[in-house]
Amino acid sequence: MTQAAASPEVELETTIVSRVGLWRRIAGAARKHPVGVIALILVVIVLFLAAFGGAISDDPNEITLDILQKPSDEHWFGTDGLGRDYFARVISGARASMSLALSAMLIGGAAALMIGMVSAYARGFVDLLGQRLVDMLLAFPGLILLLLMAQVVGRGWEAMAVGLGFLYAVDLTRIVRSNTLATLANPYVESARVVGASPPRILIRHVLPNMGPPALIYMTALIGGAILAEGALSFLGLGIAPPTPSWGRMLADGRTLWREWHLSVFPGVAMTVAVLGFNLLGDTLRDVFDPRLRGS
Amino acid sequence: MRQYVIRRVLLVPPTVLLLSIFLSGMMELVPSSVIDERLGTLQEAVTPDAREALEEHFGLNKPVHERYLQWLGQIFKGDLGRSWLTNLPVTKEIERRMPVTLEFLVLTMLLYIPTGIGIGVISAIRRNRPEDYGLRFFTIFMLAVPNFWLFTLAIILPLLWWGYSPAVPYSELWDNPLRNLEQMIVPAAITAIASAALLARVTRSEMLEVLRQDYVVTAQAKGLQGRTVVLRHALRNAMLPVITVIGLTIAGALAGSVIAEQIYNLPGVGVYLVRSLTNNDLPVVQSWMLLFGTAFILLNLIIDLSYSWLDPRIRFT
Repeated sequence: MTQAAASPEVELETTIVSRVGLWRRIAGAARKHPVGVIALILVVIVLFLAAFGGAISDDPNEITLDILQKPSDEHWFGTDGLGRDYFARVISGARASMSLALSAMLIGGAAALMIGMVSAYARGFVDLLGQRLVDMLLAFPGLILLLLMAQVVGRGWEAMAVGLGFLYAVDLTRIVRSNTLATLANPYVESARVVGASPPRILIRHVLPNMGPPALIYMTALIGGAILAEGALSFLGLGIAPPTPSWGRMLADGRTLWREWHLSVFPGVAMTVAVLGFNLLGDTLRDVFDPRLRGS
Repeated sequence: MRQYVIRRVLLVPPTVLLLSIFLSGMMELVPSSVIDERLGTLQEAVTPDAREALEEHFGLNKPVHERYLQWLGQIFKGDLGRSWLTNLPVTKEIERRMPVTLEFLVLTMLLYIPTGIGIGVISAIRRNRPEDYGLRFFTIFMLAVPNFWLFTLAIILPLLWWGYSPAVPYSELWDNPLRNLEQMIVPAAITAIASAALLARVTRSEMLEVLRQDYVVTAQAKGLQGRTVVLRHALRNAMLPVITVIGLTIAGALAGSVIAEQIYNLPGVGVYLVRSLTNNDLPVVQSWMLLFGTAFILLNLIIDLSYSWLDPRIRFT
């Protein structure tokens, strides 16, 4: 407590300094990483369409008699087998994809923080068991693990979010754990322990604030993979249930109506653009904030 | 070195045991049983007494740990259980389907390794020239394209343009090699090129690292041919992380084959998994995951061991 009373001025100063440093770093990074800027623009467009796309397009689920029309002024991407406007459906596919990826990030991030920090703090048997489990699951390709999760938690949007969150958690737990171990070695953790702080207090007040940046950077790099995994699962008919538009599902339907090329082209392009944006953004963030991985 | 190998090998059985416990626990969470699946809509007609008798017949009234031990005992006898859907033994089905998937994986790897390493090496030695930019753009692009989209396009576009599609009923490799290859080559090539992107990236960055080293400069200075320097001196030393990526890709290609088999109607183990998943065929899912999970664990072991074997510097860690 005495610590907290003595330090506000010092704390204030360091935050200001680090904030200026951060902005300068971002400006410098933008000049040095033009690709990152392009990636950011792509990501912002995708997120914007996911959030507000409903306002600029028709109802994606409105069934009309204009079935299987080619792209035109009225229907930019044509219409599908039920006469639904394909542009509206592709846009709303972005919504499904993004909301899934973000929910999965929250679920997986929270789980990984809890498991990783507790595992690193507890050491011993808990840590050993947890890490063996994580190692074992990491040996699986993501898609196979996601298929298993789809069987366990069921189909549909919520189940997908849990399944993808589980994938995130498996990946992130290791990062959180190793960062926690590194943080716990700091003298300030030792002094907190000496003045009698409880383990939860140490983890929340002293360790948790160090977890944000690495976890966030790592998660950004994982979003592209999450979009692809969701698409693959929905494509196989094990993901988001119709009529909710999902890029994977639309591609699966487009395959049966193969004469209509536009049904198979637009969702794929949308998906590629979204994944490309997040992949490139993740690469750039890693380059900027984690110099050890630079150039790889 | 010896100690490290022994320790890593000894860790495999407990990990596989952990996997079996994990899978059993996961399957317990699925709200479905053999009775529900077999009866389907007839469920309402079954009296509670008859249901109890059925539960006893299938051993569902036993506690979880007893059923787990029973399953484990079966596995040790080489019996992976029977499908709820077809009542056929899982072992037999996988035995029949494995050659298809294996052929797919081998074909993919044959195309994947030269493509990935080739692109990476060319990109590295032509650094920051048009070829490098072109290839790098290509790899970044390939990492973002969903493979199932490429599979779909590779079916649809030839059909639209030339009315061409590969022959439909699957033919075995030994029955009709040409027809078999015609069916296999497109999905294998797409999987190979898509996964080669990552390999190319790693190869490129490793090559750039190695090409800066003194011994490469020395080799160049003493007048060795460019090709000798690149292949004998640089590439060999850049191979370490490359091998890890190749190992991981074998597992990834199996996941890719799940989708490829589905789209191209290849009767492999991936289709078997997807069919079992859609039909809630739990014993198949559980045994499939155990079998291939063990394969993934062993694959990881091989990657780790080859890593320490190839690089003497990290032997005793």
